[in-house]
Formats: sequence, structure tokens, C-alpha cells
Amino acid sequence: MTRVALYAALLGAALLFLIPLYVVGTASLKPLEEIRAGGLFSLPVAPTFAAWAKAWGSACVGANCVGLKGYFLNSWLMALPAVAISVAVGAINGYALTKWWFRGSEFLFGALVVGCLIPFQVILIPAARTLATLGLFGSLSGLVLIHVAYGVPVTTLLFRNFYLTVPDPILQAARLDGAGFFAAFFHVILPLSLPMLAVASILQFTGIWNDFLFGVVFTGPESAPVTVALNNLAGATLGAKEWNVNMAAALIAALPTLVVYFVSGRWFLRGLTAGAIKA
Amino acid sequence: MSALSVQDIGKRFGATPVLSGVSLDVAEGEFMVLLGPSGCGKSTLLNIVAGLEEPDAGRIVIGGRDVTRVEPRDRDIAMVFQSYALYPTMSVRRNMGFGLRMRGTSRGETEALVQEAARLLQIEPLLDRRPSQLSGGQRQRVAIGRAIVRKPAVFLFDEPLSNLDAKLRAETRAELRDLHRRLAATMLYVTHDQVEAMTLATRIAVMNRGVIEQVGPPQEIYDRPASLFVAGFTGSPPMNLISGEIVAREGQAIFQPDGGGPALPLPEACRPGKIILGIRPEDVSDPLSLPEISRWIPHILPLRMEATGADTHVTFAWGEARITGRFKPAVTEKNVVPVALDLAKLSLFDPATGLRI
Repeated sequence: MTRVALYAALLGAALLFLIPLYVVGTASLKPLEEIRAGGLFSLPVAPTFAAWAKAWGSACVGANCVGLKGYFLNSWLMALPAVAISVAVGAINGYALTKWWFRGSEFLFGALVVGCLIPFQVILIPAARTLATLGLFGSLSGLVLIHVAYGVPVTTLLFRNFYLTVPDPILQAARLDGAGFFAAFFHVILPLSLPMLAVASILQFTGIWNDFLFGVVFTGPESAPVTVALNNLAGATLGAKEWNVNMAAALIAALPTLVVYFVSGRWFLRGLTAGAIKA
Repeated sequence: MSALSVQDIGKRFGATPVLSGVSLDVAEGEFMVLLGPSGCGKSTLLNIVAGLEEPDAGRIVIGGRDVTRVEPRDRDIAMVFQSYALYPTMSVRRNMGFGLRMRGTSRGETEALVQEAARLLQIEPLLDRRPSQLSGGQRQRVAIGRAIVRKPAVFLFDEPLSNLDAKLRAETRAELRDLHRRLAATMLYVTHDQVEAMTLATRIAVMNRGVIEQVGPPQEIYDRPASLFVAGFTGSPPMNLISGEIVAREGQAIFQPDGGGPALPLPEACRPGKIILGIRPEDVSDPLSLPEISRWIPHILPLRMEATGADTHVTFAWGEARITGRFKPAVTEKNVVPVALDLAKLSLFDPATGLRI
């Protein structure tokens, strides 16, 4: 009996969260007239990918009617290096902080934790000034730099907590075996870190891909990521609202994070529960 | 020239002194055991020899070369850790070969050396397994294999047997002794287990509170402990320690235990005064089991009897002290007295300094 109630409650919750996705999905496949005429929950009568094609290739993003494809590519060009660099730096930081104690390491770690807690908005203006000085303002590389700077505290914290569970004698053995800082990291520590690499990469990827604020502040019209382009596409005021195109565009923008989660969700859970390492 | 020389090492953690003025010489081919209770500083000393911790004072000399400021990798040492510390993601083969590869030994030569060490330790069938697929005893062998494959000048062992069960521990102990003989290698071995120390060591260094209290061959440590601490830490049950006073009566020294009880005439002249008398339980027994010069104590009372199978431990009240003796299993409450002490085996300690007189 309790079991039935439990499943009913879980199913109800799942449906509640899936309804918006259902509405967006069906609407993106309907012709515009059908949306205007029909109910919100009805299935498309004559499903078509026309809205997807338009959103991808020819919808107006602000004044440029070029579709999302260029911005979609921008997002990849920004997210991949930003994820790779922030995860790599976080892993090395976490390793240095836990396994190579040095004077001031506790203070550095404290400073990094504060970095995790600072809200986005606080750093916008100093960051803009810094990028301008570096000549990176308005470019994708500038955006990558911002995401790396903002991501490193979080990834460092993740890896530090993970490496605390790796017994110190393993690293001492490596030092006696002749491995230096990087040799021990690449041969001994990094192979242990696969679950945490997956977790950190997924967290960073979803965060960076979905970011809107940094994108809108630090990029120009050409270098905007897909989230900013989606906003400009949906917010275009000329003519009638093309709901089906907007919905298709929203799905295009959301697709990569969905795929990443479905493909690596298993790893994600495993990494979050990864604990002590048995030698 | 000694293979390893620890010279006047001092170390403190914050305000707490952990090691003070520790010096120790380990000869070529010697099996030196550092024996002491937990917290006595023996593991810290081992880490300092390994280069994993820096001493505040003193020098470490290995093979005639001062290595106090030398990186662990360049000290020509190998270490076996209590937790084995194998690399979890590497096969046994790669675990054992890692140190050689890091030092630039070629792939082929590494493989040959790993095979040789694996044959010596009989772990050849395990070479392609991961550490997680091995039992505790097998991991221990791999950890030893990883150390011997490099043929270092000095081997360091940090309580390597303490994670094994009793039977396996005894077997591995015997193998370690074997291995030491076959490799003729210099070994420094840390343990809190006196049986390990007695069976493995060519010499034992007993540590207490950051100081080495006595260095010597196992039998000497056992027979002639240099201090009350060494006397109480070695042997099972440990040495009986009885406080009392020596008085001179008609030219003979007589030991009078505190709290009354039968007096004991001593074989040699002794300065009168407060004293602590030490005697091993096996030197306290029935008169027929002990040599002739032993002395009877007629009127002491048995308090407790503990049968261990091979012999029975009987505890008596002697004055206010408790003294335990080893008797044949046939002993009963009725025939346990008189008790004899082997006077040739007495140890006398100064109660003020705790040192042997």
C-alpha cells in the first residue's frame, strides 16, 4: 500500500516536471496556425520540422536573420576549452593543496573558498575592466577566461575533497619511487580521478553552457553564445510571435546539456558517491 | 663504515618535542628494529630517514653520504608501508616496475628485474592483477617486491605486518628473516610488537618518548634491560618490578620489599638504599625448575593462576608488590609454595633515574 502511494507520488512529481518539456516539444513540431487554434496539450496534427529548420538557419537574432547555428558553434568553442581548463587546473590545485603541503596552503585554500561564494554580479565590472585591459573584451577567449576564473574555485574544492580520501602513503611511495610533482600526478593520482573528472566536467559544462549573464555582458553581437542568441531571437519584436520557432530554438539551446546528462548521468552519480580508495 | 647513520636528530611538532638527540648506527647487512610504544617517535624517525619529513636538527648519513637535505628519491632507499600503499590503478607488474621506470631503466630490463623479484617472492601468477584483486598477505608481498626490485642500499619497514592476521603474521615474519639473509641487505624496521623485534632483529633499539633508551642484540635487551621502561616493555608477561630497600645485615645485603613480606638475601654486596628489583617471570618458579643458586621465598601467597597450556602463570603478593612466575602446568594452589628466584638473573634499577645499576 505504502509502495503504491510512493510510486504515485514519484510519478506525479515526474509528470509535473515533464509537462513543460512536453509543451515545448510538441509546440516546436506544430505549424503556427495549429498553435494559435489548438490547445496547449494537444499533439501536433501535422508534425513538421520547419520551425526547427528556421530556428537553426534563418530566424532573426536581433537584426541578423541567420538562425542559431553560428551561436551554437560559439557556445561549443567557448564551453569546451573553458571546461577543459577549469577542470585541469582544479585537479592540479586540489592535488597540490592536499598532497604537497606548503607554507600558506591553508590560506590559499580559504581564499579559494571565498571565491566560490562571491555572487556573479559583484565581479562583473572589475572583470570587464580586466578584459578590456587584456584586449579580450567582446571576444570568445575573454569569455573563456572569465568562465575559467569563476570555475576554478569550485573545481579545486571538488578535487581537494576527493584527494583527501586518497591515502598519503600512496603519494609518499611514489616520491620514494622517484616520481616528482607532475609524474606522481599523471601516473598515480590522475588515473584515480576518473569519477571526479566526470563529475567536475559535467557540472562545469552545464553551468558554462547555460550561462547567460557572462555571455551577455562580455561578448559582442558576433561572439555571443547560444543562450544570448536565444534571448535575442525570442525577444525580437517585429511581426507576429513565432512560438514554434521560439520553442525549437529553446530546445536546440538546451539539447547539449540534456545529452551530456543522459550519457554521463551514471558517471555523475558514481562520482558523487566515490569515497575512500582501497589500495 | 655504517650503512646508515642517524646523528643527533631532533624534531618537534609545534611545541611538542617528538625526537630529542637521537643517534643510531646501522651496520652493513644489519637488521635493526626500532621498538617502542605508539607515539614514541619511531615512525617519525623512519620518515626522517626516508626524507618524507625534515628534522629540525641532526644529520642522516647513508653509505657515507650526508643525505639530510636530499630528496627521498635520491637517497637509495625503499620503504614498505603499513597500509602497503600500492598504486590502485596499476597492475602488480607496473606497481613493482614503477620505481625503475621513473629512474629511466629500460622497459626490457625493468621487466626482467620485476620477474626476478616476483620469482623470489613467489608472486609470479599475480603480476597482471590489480591490488584490489589481492588478499592482504598478497598485497604485503607485492609491497615488499616493489621495495626489493630496486636493490636499494637500505630498506625501511613501517610496521609492515600489523594489518595481517596472527597466522599470516608469523609466516611473513619467518619469510622476512629469510629474505634478509638471502639479500644480505641493511634493514631498518619499525614495530611496537616485541615478538617481531625479538625474532627479526640482529639488534634492537628501544625507543621511549623520543629517546633511544637501549640498543643491543635481542637477548641482551631481554636479559639486561638498561632501564625500567625497557624492562617493562619487553617480555610477555613483562619483567616483575618490585620496589623495596636494601639493608645491610651482618655483612650481607638484604632486599626488603615495600609493605613487608619475606626479605631476600642478595648474592652480591649492594649499597643500602631504595631500589627496584626486576626479575623475569621464567626466573620465578618452583625450586626444582631453577638452578641451584636460586633462593627460596617461603611465605608468599598465590593470588591468581592463569593456565596458558605450555605453562601456568601464578601471581603472588610479595609485600605490596605483585610478582608473576612461570610454573609447570601441574602446579596447584596446594603445592605452589615455596617459590624460588633465580638470583643470577636479577636486574637492579635506581628508582630515581629508572636506570639499571
